[in-house]
Amino acid sequence: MKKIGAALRRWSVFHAIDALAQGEEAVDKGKLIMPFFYGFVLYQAMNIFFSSRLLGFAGPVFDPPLPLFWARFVPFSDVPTIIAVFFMVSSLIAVFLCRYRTGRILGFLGILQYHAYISSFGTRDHGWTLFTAISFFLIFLPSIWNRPSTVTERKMFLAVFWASAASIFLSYALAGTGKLIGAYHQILAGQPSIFSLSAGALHIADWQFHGDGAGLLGPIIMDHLWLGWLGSIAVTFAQFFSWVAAFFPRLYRPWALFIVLIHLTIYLGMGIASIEIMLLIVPFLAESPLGLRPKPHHALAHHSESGK
Amino acid sequence: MTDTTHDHANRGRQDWKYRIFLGVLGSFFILYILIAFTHRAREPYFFFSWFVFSNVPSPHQVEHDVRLLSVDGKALPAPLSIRDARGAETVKGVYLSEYYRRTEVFARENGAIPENKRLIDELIVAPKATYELVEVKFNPIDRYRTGAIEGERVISTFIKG
Repeated sequence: MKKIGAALRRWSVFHAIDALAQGEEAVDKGKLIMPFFYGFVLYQAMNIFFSSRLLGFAGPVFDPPLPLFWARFVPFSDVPTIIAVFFMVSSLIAVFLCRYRTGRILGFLGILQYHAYISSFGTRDHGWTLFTAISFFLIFLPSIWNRPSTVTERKMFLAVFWASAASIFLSYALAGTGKLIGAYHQILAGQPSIFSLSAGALHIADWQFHGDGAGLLGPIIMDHLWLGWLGSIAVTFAQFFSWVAAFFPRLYRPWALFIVLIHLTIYLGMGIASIEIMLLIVPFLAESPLGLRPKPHHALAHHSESGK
Repeated sequence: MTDTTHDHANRGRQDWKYRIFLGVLGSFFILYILIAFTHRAREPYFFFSWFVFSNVPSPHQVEHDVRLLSVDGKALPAPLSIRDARGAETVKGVYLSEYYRRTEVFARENGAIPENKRLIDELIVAPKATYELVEVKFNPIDRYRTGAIEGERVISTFIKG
């Protein structure tokens, strides 16, 4: 048991941060990820601006959340234009000035306004929730671009990248936990649950009528219920064990692959395409700076410094 | 760019900053998890519970449909579900989820509540129309495979304008 405990500690994210903060490599990788992240946000913002897509994004009910408090005081027809312009300008500034906190704050505000707007019509948008959370965490990166950094600053830098990865894992972990809680209640009530053979097929069929979507494999799964069952069980447990993966950077890369496969499975079964999330999974999980192996002399330096 | 801090006492103080930082991040996640578990029905923005597809849909479903019978005084050749007519000439384009929400609200009290009827009237573009509220029973897998339903019943007919 002692050996297992020691191995778990050695592979944990906290140990990885301690060891990687002894050198510059992980922090440098994190710095490279920043323009990539804001670059995608800029791509999306320009896409929206040039296509005037926000103008058409309106429902019968306009119920803006708190960050859009100002929208109640301007004519509704002006709101999408203001948001599209602000989103584009703020993300453009964030790409080029992401090393400065002001640039990152502007980047966050642009994403927040856009996300709040597309969540104002009765249905909450899920696709941009993680972008909003991650851009918020990135504000807290220590400003160590133009000067030598201390070990503590590098630890804080890497902790921000862990928080960003953890927010992605949390979303999947909650989804998996919700499915298991749902299964518990449905089994007690004598209803079909995620463990029933028809679970996947029922989800797919129901989604076609209520969710406006159909996957390529839908008809095949209807004839081979076990395929849908296998898919829903795999998705549930891969999501649920994200609670664990979040704390072990060595699992980030394989888990990134699991998550891509989860989305592929959902797309093939139900036709739900979650494309934006891929642009978070690659930099913050598959290529996370925390996934780097600490160099032996860094690990040694760490142990000698902490008196072990 | 190596560590410039050699003073152990100073390092200790700086490490406290890191631990407080970790504590703040940890608190944010704990708050998020608490809100996710306790506000599943309507989360405060921007928290989202992520409890998606938590329950397996029932194999015996009952839902409602609204079908147009006439538009501007002209009878349609066959009843037209406004679900299928969304975005066409006669019915406004709304999300399917919005259509279902409105239809199920309208179906309360068998469509007798005027404020709820307005939700459907708003969707129909023409100033004058006749439509019926229908209850449909079905197994989603059978309906997906063959289009077969277990049964349907017209609840009532309504007039707009």
